[in-house]
Amino acid sequence: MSRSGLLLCLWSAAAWAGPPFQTDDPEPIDFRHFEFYTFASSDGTPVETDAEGPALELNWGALPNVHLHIIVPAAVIFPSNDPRFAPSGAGPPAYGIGDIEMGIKLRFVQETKHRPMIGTFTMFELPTGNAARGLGVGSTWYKVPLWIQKSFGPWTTYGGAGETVFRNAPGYRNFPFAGWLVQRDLGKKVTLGTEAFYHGPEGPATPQTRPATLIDVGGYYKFRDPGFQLLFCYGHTAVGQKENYAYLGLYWTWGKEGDQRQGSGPGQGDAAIRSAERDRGIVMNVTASDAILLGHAAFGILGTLAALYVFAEALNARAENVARIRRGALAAAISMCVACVLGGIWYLRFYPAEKALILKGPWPMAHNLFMETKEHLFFATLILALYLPIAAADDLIGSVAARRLVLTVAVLVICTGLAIEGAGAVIDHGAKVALLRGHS
Amino acid sequence: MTADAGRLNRATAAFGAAAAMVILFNTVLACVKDAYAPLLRFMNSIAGHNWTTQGLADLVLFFGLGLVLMRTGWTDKIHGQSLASWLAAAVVLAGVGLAAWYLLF
Repeated sequence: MSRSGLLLCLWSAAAWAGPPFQTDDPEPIDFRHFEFYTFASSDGTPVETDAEGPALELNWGALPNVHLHIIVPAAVIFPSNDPRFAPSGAGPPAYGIGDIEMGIKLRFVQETKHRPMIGTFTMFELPTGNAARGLGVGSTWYKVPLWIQKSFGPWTTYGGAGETVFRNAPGYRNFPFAGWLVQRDLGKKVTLGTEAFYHGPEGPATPQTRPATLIDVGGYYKFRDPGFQLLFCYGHTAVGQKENYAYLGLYWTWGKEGDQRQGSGPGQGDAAIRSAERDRGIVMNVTASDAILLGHAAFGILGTLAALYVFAEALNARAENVARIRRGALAAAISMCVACVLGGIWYLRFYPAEKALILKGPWPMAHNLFMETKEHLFFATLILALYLPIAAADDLIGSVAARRLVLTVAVLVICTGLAIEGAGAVIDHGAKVALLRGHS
Repeated sequence: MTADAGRLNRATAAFGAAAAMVILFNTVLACVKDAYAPLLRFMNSIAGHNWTTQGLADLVLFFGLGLVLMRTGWTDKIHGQSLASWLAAAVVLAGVGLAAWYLLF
């Protein structure tokens, strides 16, 4: 049986360019700045539809003009099983981790009034996806592009071309790609753009068996500029093999320059924005801090519930539910990883202001005992959650010990998860009583 | 219980043992960095914040130790019930130890 492989044309870069579009740009994020995306995307042809989601992306301005990049995706494929395309696009749907993308963006020509910036964004795709199930290529592959960009007031245009390179990947062939994009700021909240993106035939093991040129339309909605944005894009083939592309994601960025621009200390930028929006009569004011904190708590609860599900299923482990146990264990691990990343972002970026408030209030133990214990005990929960899928991969039918071990680990994840959620509530109350008693 | 019923595969045993060790290591590191300022400064300098460094160290140790233990025959001697007890004990020690440390010191 032949399987198509997951090969989404995903390119990533700064908030002003790159995602949600397929064309990328040469502009790295600022030195010591970070970007975090969580997104879902889809690329479908009549042969097969491939999607990634949830996917997590982190970019780090490690050096001036250089940023490092990683995407960890969950991937899903839906082969069409259409005999016209056989042997491509045959087999059942599959879901699991996809190929992890790591990259280095390097800008080697700076933009001036009359000269565009020029750079490259080399990607290394690690073979973490299961190639037999069509979730990955099966060996490391590369993207080597050259991008240029120029801005004119509210207009920005960028584009370039490159080559995707495979080695020891039967069914895949090296192929060229190229794209060009124009976008414009429409006021302070919205940026819209459109691109033309071409790729060559990618090989019989992929859904993109023939070349295609797509026209995509998308943009950004800035909840907070530049800290927190919604990214969206949709596109369709104009020339070549029928293909659809879609992207929906959330984006956060933070770093030293943002602190200086928005306030002198952590949280002060948020306070200024909240005040301004209150003045404009906006009742519901959700900032990046709120969204990240709520996301952290929500994924923590999801991870705990997933562990509870694993426990309930493992009590009666049998051939019919082993796959469900393993999927539940994987969900617990992924949820706890997301909770950890979001919690870490919030703890480092936004908590210092709340900590100062708590320490001045009537419940300093909310930080000194509960937060200090919570932030370190969480690593135990994370390790246990990461271990759960490993233990669940054992022979749960034939080995009583393996089943009992999974039950024990699930219970430990549940207990520590609940303890951490409880500690979070105490910390929140510590800040609340400090505010209510006028210690802000 | 038969011999097979109590057996774990190598990955389960190795990463389980690694998890128990890392949970204890994490607890000890939290206390030591709090008590020894040069270590705290060193950890701050590595990843920008000591908490980030500690998390990365835990993850590297977990996966590294798990892979190393998988290659040894030592994991063949680990019984499932014992491993479950080690993990439970490590988590209880971590929870009580961390709370006691921040409560008393």
